[in-house]
Amino acid sequence: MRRIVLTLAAVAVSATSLHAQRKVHAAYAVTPDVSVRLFASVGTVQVVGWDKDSVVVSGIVASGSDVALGTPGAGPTRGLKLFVESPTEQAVREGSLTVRVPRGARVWLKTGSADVTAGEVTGGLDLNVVGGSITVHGSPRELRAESMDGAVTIDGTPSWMRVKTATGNITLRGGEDVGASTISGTIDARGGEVERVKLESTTGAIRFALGLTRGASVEMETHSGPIDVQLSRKMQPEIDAATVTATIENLWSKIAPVTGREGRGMSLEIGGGQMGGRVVLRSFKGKITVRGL
Amino acid sequence: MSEHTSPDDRLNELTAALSSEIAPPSDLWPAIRGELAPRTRRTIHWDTRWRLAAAALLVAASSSILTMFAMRAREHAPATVAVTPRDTAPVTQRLPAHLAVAERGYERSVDALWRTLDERRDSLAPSTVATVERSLRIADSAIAEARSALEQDPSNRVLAELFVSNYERKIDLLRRATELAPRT
Amino acid sequence: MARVLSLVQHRVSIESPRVARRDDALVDRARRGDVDAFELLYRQHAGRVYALCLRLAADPVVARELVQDTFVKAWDALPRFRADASLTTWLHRIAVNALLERRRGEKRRAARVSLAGDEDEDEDERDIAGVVIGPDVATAIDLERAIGALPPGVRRAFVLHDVEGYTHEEIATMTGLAAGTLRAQLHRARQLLKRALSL
Repeated sequence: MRRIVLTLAAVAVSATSLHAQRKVHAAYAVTPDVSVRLFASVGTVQVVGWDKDSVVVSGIVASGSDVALGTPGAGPTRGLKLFVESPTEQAVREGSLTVRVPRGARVWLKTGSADVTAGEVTGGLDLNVVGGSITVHGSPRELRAESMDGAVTIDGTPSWMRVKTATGNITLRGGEDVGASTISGTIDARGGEVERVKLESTTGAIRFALGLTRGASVEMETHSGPIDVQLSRKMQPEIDAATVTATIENLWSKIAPVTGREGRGMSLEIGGGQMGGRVVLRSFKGKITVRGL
Repeated sequence: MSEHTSPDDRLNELTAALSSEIAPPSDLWPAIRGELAPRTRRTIHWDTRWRLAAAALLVAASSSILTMFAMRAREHAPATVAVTPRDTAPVTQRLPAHLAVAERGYERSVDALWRTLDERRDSLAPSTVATVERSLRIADSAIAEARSALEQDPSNRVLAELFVSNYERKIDLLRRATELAPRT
Repeated sequence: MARVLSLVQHRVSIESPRVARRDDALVDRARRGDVDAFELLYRQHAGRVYALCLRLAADPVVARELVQDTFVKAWDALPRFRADASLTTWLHRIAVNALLERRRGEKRRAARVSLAGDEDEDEDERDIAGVVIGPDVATAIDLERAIGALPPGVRRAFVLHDVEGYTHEEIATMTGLAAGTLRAQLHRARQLLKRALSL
């Protein structure tokens, strides 16, 4: 005779829970330009730059998490490797870490689904997240931020920046040398200034409203995502826009776009001032709109 | 429990009374189903390659048929009917040589990255695999469209740039997918 | 002893011929890639697999992951399933392997430096009396919780033998345990459980 099926909630849970939390705290004397490599399987990670020559890791992880830190040496260290792995997906979600580093540090972070925020680091940041979001405040000298699904928001103006997602949306405020690429996310660039920028999205929309420095170089490209560009008339950039099948709308000047061969696609060429820079816009079938800022 | 039942017998009675089944969480099957892809994990790979190959064949076939019709029309047209060069020119061209070479190189890179990704697929979270596959389908569709248009208009530099960019984004996505951390 | 055997054997081999024939048809379809057929197999057997995993792991989160691993591995291994054992037994073997792989992975990671606060456990030597049990449940703790509080190796032996009814030989095949070790673990399990249940 079959036994009655029971739906048990917590009857068989061990009297000692495997997911009690425990605090994590470790501190190291480091050089101001220390290189920190962190692999963290937790829910949130904060990287904060400060004015001390030390790295402090603090937070909460689930009991049973695997935590490994480099062994402190006799003097300030130039490199640290930190490893935190949580035993289950639920434990991952419950874990959170804050890593304080000297402002000039270079931080490499790899995590699965953590939401990552970083701020006040002026050295370098290399942030790799699979499913979580990335938010960066301040302006590191170098920034690389890659997420598959999560949104990437850069609320600063790094000197050199490369941002990539597959589906996550990208928000930028400018910088000196900026590259952003996504397959289906949107790219929103506004609020700052840029010297060199390349924005690419296969199907997502690109919205650009950054100021251009003298002699700026701007390239944007989509396959089907629309491109909406707002430009300051002060700089008088040269504009070269072309589509294969879509339309171009010029709300920036009186020059009319030209229809392509066999009535397919359009092109727009506008001469610029001496130091106005160059703006190149390309799309297969996404509408391109150029307007004044 | 009777006063005559030994502790061992009592333990046996309690053990026998344990239910043989316990209902698992109701959302477990969808999670399992999402991971059953390995049995069909090459589908997207072959599906993608098939689509690209099919797109190329379709373009080639249709261009051959159209060329044939154009040539027949020319043969049978009355002498007095003017046939513009456009009507008789071949409708499609192959890819320009430099792009054909580039494409072969891209496909070699894609093959190598796919092999690596297939090996590591089981260590990726199902949601990650789904994101990567969805994004690759988008990239492949864009490549196919650009390629098809390029065969119609091989001297179009804008098209050539878009074709190359789409491939580079696809390869970059595959590379990043192979470098992803194990499932967390 | 005979009564023990009859109670234990009652649990094993409950798949009637009709159930087994239905399983065969579903297995054939699932082997050919029919996910719906595999879902029916899941619905039929998940309860027993989850019960085993929950008692072995003593943690519903881990048990869930083990069940997930078990059925995903079963899907991959279906072409090799020979029906020389019942499907339930075959699934149980996969589940036990999944648990043992998990334990081996945990032991490898335990070699890393840990922060202060982690306590080493010798899993088979931990006394159940050392487990936190409040005074109000000391006399009323039920068997499921008591099994859950057993040291892992001892718990595994008890669940596979006394709860699921596998023979010593079958358990040795599943776990690689020597007969003498298994007997010692079973004896210890029963001692600890009788004490926990105040029998």
